[in-house]
This record gives sequence, structure tokens and C-alpha cells, in this order.
Amino acid sequence: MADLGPTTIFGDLTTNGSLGGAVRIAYCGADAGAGTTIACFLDTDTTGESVTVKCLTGGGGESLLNASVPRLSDGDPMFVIKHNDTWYSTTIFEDSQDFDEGLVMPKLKYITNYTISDDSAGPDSCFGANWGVNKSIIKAIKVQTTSTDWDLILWTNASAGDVGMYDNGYVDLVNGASGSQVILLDLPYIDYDSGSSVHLQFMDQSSGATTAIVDVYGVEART
Amino acid sequence: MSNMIKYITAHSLTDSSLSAAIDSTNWAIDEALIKEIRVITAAIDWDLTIYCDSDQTSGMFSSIKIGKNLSGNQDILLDIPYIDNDSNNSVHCLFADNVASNGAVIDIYGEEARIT
Repeated sequence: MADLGPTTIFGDLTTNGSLGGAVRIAYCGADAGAGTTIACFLDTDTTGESVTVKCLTGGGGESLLNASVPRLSDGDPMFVIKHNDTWYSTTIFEDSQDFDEGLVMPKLKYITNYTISDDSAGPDSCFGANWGVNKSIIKAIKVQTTSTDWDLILWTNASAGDVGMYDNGYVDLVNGASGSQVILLDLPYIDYDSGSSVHLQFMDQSSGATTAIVDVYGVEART
Repeated sequence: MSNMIKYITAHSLTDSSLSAAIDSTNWAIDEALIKEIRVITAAIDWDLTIYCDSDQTSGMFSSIKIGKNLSGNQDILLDIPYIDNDSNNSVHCLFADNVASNGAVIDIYGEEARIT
């Protein structure tokens, strides 16, 4: 049997077989990049023969190594084999998915100093640059008003109606409140009309203030 | 991966004095969900207010009074987004004893959050 070297395995099977070459070990010379090949060193990391290894990736073989798993790093070993003058990794790579931090770390959203008017007919649509979502968990609503008797209703839609995730399209948040209040919630909310807003109906039952200034604090959610 | 627990322990507050609660080891963040504030005090009528900025005006909210006319030790359960507008990794608190001049010692328990 021919001497295939210390890192060659399956030599009897491959040296003169249909694959045309022996299985070797190659060490990555760099982290996985935006391509389907990677520079490697045969047999010995950093000092072995430099070769370029073609990797079989997902996406019909076109997915990039830096978006594939296993994710290669400089110095990682892998089995390779030479076929028709090209070195191939025997590893099959699959597409990876970016880790979504939002799954575990709350993403804060807020609307500040939005003025809403006394309106018995329907809600105002509160929005702002720091909200920008249709799905959220509303954690608190701060209401600043001089009204001594007010109600606050949360609607799913820009116009009052029985649509969206809440029965009858709304939730009564406050009845008969007096003065400024902070309403603590932990309430899922989906903006039915996809306008990235929170639809609040403020109703002043006294003869005092006709407006309120609201803040909405929450975290982004999804369905 | 799990939620990142953050906390500030045994921060002393002086009556009617704004204070930035800091724990560079166990808090060290600007964006959080504050879940609970534990207050230890001898005061029998006190308020506790949090701010997003040391100027008591700027940020996602100017102020929220999370305790009003409370007596003695209290655990205030919350679930409120908080961004330190100073980017100082702190929670700005003001404790007020309404009938005397007691201070308080507070713990703040929360979870790391983000804005981007």
C-alpha cells in the first residue's frame, strides 16, 4: 500500500478509487467569508501546502460561507478531497439564520407628548418616530390633563368599529379618572390598520379640559 | 439565550434630593425594563419619582411618580420601559418624605432592553 502520509485516512479506498484522491485534513487559513471557497493549509495549520477548498453550500451551492453552518473559523480543521484538480470539503454546509435579538431582549418603543382631543365619536391615532410598529406590548400610558372626570379607550383601528384583536374593537382603559395619571399595563396591541400608531379615545366627562397629552411606553412584539 | 437580569442594590436616597442610582457591575445599561423597586425607609408618608434625565425634563418621559403617599417599606411592582437619557447607566430617582426628612434605601430590579 502506498504511503499516504500521517493525516491521510481511508487511503485504500480513495487513492486509486473512483474519487481519484485521498481524504486529507485541511486547516482553514481564515474565517468564513463571502464566497463558497476558503483558503486552507493541507495537513498542518499555517505551514502546510496552501490550497483553495470548494465548499458545498445551501442555496444550490451558491450560499456564502459566512452565512452558512457550520461556520468556519481560522484554524478549523475539516476533511477535504481532491477531484478533477479541485479540493472539496466533505462537509455539507447549510444556510444559517441571523440570531434575532428581539426574541430575547425587549426593544423599547415610545410615543411622547402626543396631544389628543376630547372626542366622543372616535379615537385619535397616536404615533411618533420612536414607535413605528404595529405589534407591541403596551406597558404604560401617561395621561396629563386637568380634566376631573375622564375616560380613556384603546381601539385597534383608526375608526371606531368591531375589528381587530379586541372584542368589539376596543378595551376600556380608564373610567372616571381625575387629573393626570399613569396607567400601568402589560397589554398586547396590534394596530389593525397597520398605521404604526396607537388609537386612543379620550373623553372628558367634566366641563374642564378638552385635551390630554399622552405618552405611550411599550416593547415591540410580533405575531 | 435568556433575558438579561440587571439590578442595583442598596442605593441610598436623601430626602428631596435627586439621585442617580448606579451599579456599574450589575446594571451598566441605559435601556431597561424596570420590573420592581424595593424601598426601605422609616418615612410614613413618602413619594418616589423616577426621571429619565438629571435635568428632570428630557428623555422618553420627564417624570413618573411611581409611589405616592406610601408608608414604610414597600415593594413597587412595575414593568416599565426606561431609557437613561444621560447615557450614564443610571436610574434617576427622587425620594420625598412628605412629613419629615427621612431618606430611603432602594433596590432596582430589571431586565436589559434595547432601542435598536
